[in-house]
Amino acid sequence: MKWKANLIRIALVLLLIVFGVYLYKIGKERDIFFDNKEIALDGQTYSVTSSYFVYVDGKKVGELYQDGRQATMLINGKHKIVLESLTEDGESTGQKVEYSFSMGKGGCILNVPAMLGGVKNFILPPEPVE
Amino acid sequence: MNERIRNFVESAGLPRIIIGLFVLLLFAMTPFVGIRLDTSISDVIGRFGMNAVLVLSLVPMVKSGCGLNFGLQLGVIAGLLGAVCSIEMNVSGFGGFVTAIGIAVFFATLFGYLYGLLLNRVKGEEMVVATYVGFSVVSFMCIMWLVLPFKSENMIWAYGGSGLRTTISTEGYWFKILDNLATIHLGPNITIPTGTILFFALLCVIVWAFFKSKTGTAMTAVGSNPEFAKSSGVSVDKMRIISVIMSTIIAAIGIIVYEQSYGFLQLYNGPQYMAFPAVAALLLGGASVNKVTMKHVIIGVLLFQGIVTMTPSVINNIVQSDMAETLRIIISNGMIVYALTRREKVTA
Amino acid sequence: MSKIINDTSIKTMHPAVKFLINFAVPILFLIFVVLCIPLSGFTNTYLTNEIIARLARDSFLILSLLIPVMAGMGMNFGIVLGAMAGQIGIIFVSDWHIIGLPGLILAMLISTPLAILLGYFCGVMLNMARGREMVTGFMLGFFMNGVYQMVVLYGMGKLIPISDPTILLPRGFGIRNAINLSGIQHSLDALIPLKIGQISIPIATFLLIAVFCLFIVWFRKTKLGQDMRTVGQDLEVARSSGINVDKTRIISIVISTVLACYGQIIFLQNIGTVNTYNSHEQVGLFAVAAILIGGASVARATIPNVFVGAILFHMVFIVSPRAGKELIGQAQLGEYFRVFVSYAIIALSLALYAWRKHVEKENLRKQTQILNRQALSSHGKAVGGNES
Repeated sequence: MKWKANLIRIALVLLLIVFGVYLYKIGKERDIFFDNKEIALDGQTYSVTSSYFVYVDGKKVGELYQDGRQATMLINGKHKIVLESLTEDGESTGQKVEYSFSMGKGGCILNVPAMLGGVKNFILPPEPVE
Repeated sequence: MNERIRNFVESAGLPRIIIGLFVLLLFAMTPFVGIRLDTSISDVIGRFGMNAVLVLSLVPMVKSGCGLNFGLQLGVIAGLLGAVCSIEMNVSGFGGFVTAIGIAVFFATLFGYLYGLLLNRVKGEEMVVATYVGFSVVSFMCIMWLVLPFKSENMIWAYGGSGLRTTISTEGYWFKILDNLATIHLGPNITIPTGTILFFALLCVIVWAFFKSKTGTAMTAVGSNPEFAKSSGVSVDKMRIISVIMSTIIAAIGIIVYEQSYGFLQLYNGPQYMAFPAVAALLLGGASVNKVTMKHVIIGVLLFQGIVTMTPSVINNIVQSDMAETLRIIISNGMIVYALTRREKVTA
Repeated sequence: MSKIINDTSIKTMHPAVKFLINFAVPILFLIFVVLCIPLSGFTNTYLTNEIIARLARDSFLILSLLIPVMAGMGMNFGIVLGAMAGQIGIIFVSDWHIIGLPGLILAMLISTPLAILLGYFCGVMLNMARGREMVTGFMLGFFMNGVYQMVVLYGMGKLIPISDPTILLPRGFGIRNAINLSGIQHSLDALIPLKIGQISIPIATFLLIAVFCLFIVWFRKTKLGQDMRTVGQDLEVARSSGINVDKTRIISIVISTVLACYGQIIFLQNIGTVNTYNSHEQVGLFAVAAILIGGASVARATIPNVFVGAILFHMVFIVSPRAGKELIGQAQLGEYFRVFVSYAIIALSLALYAWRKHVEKENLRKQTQILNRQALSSHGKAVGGNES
């Protein structure tokens, strides 16, 4: 029966399309920003203490100065961020702190003081565009 | 009346008509996009003169059944060798031009003979083999241009280098030698390079007369009906070789005509893709893989140069971008594909 | 003027001589390469590494040439169309910032329909140009290059939405000349890495190539494969056995184009950069040159041809610039020499093939003439009448 073969073909094509959408979701990188800015959450203020070198998943992203911002692109899922604190002159003090975080829907600004201060959700939603 | 129109369309081929109308449209649009009509016409006629002889060179090989000469580069190289030798010998003016042609003809005959021998061995696949033979020879000559012992200061690399430069100017030697022969100036912006056109016309007449001669008719017979030709005692192979030599010689002359008008010799990879626009122009004029007349050459070059000159200027002014090169690739290669895919009607 | 090299005279040739003639091209190049290696001064480790990397990169593309040869279409210069489809897939995936293996597979997924379309178009064109397939394929490649430029240089950004402005040209539309694929680079290669001493081998890529080879071997045994071989050997016989010749030929080109599309994607993930307007142009040339160096002909190409050819071709590629420099003292010469060699191989192989075909046809004609004459004379004797 010819239309049975066609039905199977259509089902396969649909399967491929679904697979494609799945690949899109798991492979897509999104912007993430690291803010080293003072922030007030739930009544508590977390202030900036130092500048850092930022490493994400082993790769160096750049320098994060006080009141500064760094950016990179990551796919959804778990990532590791390592902050290497710097002195006034930009030299490394050798102190490194490591955190894990998850890229998920919604959040894309990681606030460093909040993260260091132990806040649970240190990834904030994007700022409204002015 | 409708019958006549339909016959005309069928015999002229739809693509030709479309492109012809397109070119007319472009010309009509010139005043609206800020280009002078007379400069455009002058440009097209000038380029016609430059390119016509190269396209003419394709005729003998089509007539003898060798197909479209994708190995045009061989003739071009012969011509370049002639030009380069002529400049090396420091002959300028008309003398230089004639010397260039003389040496070129010598090389062209040699190359044409070898090329003809090769093509005779590969009957049926001439076009593909010709393409790659052409490419190989140009690449080989790239090595040669570097290595051959030329000394003329106008040609070698500056700062005591050796080997020829990529582009060599013909200025001071025979730049525009034909163009400026009896030029007609129609108004301030239209220059008709009469010399070049007359030269082309002369060559056209020679080729046309040749094909009316006994050898010429034999050659045409070889192309349209090899069995018949053989049974009439004509040596098919010999005719094919003669046609290849003719084509190569005319191509060699053609590139020299091109250079005198353009002002530069282009070595190294310059000649690499020269076969394709020539073939496209011929096909645009209505020729096919095994049928061609003088009319096709003239109409073809006019239409092709019309498109190639007018499209950039007009389209650039409308769309504010630079689509000219891309359009040219699409049109010229599209024409060749169209011609290759046409099922030939067998004529007796 | 032509000598008859008929069957009997070939059979009485020493088998070694026959082997030499059939494999003239690869043997010539083996000798050339062996001469050039010491001249170039490269170490064996370096060479091995380079060859393995290039094999992994290019084999898929060369393999895609096999099926059209089976169907009698000659060297499919139209694989350029498949390469363009693959590139467009990669452009989109780069634009959407999909990285790693998912990005690679997605690129393959979305470029497949385009490759099928282009392959179908190419197949139809080639069918219309029966007897001139190779030239037509060649010119079709140039033509589609123009169309590709039209789409990618003018359409993208304007008519086709591109969300990431960094891959566009400064003027706002049209894709940049070079796109960095750092996200996808080596995603297939590095999947299963293996390092023996100094030599790294991308196992996953080779696995994929092996799967492809198995596919070709299996395909030859299927009904469709058998049909194609019949079409390739003799059109009339195929048609009289009820095979739809036109459709079979088109299918062979479609398969080849789709595989070339994947091959180009694998190539790009290895190199890591897309030269938007150049990457695909040389694909046809290099793949055809490689397979011909490996001993294939227009009528017959096998899997060993592909790999032998790939190795030899890349050797020539790597070794000749340096050898040229040592020999003649100009590095530029090595580059020209390499290009010359690629073109000359194809010209030589095509010429040899055409010459052989021509000679065979001549032989057939002469044999039929002789047979006819014999038949006529015996008939004439029997009847006692005139023979004309």
